[in-house]
Amino acid sequence: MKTTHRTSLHPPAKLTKQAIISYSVLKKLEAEYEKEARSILATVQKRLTAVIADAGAKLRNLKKAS
Amino acid sequence: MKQSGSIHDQYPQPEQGASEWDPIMNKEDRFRARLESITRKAENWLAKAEKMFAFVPGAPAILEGVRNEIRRVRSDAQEQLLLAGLWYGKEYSAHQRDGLKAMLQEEGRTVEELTRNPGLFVDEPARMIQSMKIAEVALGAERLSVDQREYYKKEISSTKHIVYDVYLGQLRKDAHREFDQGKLRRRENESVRSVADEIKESGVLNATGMSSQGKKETFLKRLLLAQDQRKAALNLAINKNAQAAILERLIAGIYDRVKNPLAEAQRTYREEVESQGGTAIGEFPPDMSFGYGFFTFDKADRLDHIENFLQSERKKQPKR
Repeated sequence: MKTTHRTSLHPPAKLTKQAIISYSVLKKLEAEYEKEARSILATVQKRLTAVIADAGAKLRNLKKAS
Repeated sequence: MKQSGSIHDQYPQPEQGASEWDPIMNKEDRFRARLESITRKAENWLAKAEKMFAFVPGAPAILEGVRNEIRRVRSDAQEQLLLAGLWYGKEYSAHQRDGLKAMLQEEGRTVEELTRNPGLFVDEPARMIQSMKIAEVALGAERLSVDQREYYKKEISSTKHIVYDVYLGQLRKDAHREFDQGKLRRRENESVRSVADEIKESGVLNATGMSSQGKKETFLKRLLLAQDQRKAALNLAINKNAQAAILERLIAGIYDRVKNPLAEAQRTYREEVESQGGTAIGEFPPDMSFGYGFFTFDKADRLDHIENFLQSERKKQPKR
């Protein structure tokens, strides 16, 4: 049977300092992007809520007046 | 079996259903879906209000205003998400590559080792392929085609020894990179930035009556155009510096000295470039781009394979 030979080189045993730094930077970038995206969506939510509340109030007033 | 502490445990894992190694893109998709959900709720309210106030004088104008506002808010948010994803994604990819290279170096490894020996961290064929994909990311190289991937799988699972990683494709890529890392890198960044600015200023993304998909496609087309311009500039630079001729000879030379390709290639490359009055990039950089394959030379038919490969490489050389 044909086999695949394992190399004699060992896998890295643990995270190195540089890897931890790199990983944390990546996570930070992800977090920054998430923060910005959440902020965009929060603005959308806030704006649409305000628009609907304002329109609802105007419509109710119109209905009362009619 | 997954090895504890393997490189796969240490780097962000791809999320299902989206682009591998691009968590920003994954998140962008999710945020886009959230945006749709929020605006759909507003549209549902609008639909109900239209029924409820259908016969109230003055109501249609108010409701039309709400409809326009929903459209505008959604359009603005889509643009903002798109641009944020673009810039953060670019930052992420760049750092991911740098981080992986640094990590390998700290481990006393190089990306070159990883590309030459995909079993460095894992010993199963399937995981080797993953390891190759990591190398691709590390190198910023183009993704493997399905055919190439299948070829690697076959090679890895059917051969007892991986003898040499022949860096034929690398030779071309290195010459490209020499330009790429210099003035063209700046040109590319400027180009992408100017396209993004241009699109923003032109208001294309704010245009009403255009689907979000249409906006995205427009945006992407402009980016692709910028990349095409960059490629054209790159080819021009290569022709101007006669790099294509050097590479043609290199490929031919490699074929003659295929048993020790790397050392010969390094020497030949440096000599050839310097003889043209250029400056070689020193030793082949440790972060060599992903090569074209792992060849074994224990069988005569491998040479046929290499010959075919060389012929296809020659066809790819830029016309002079």
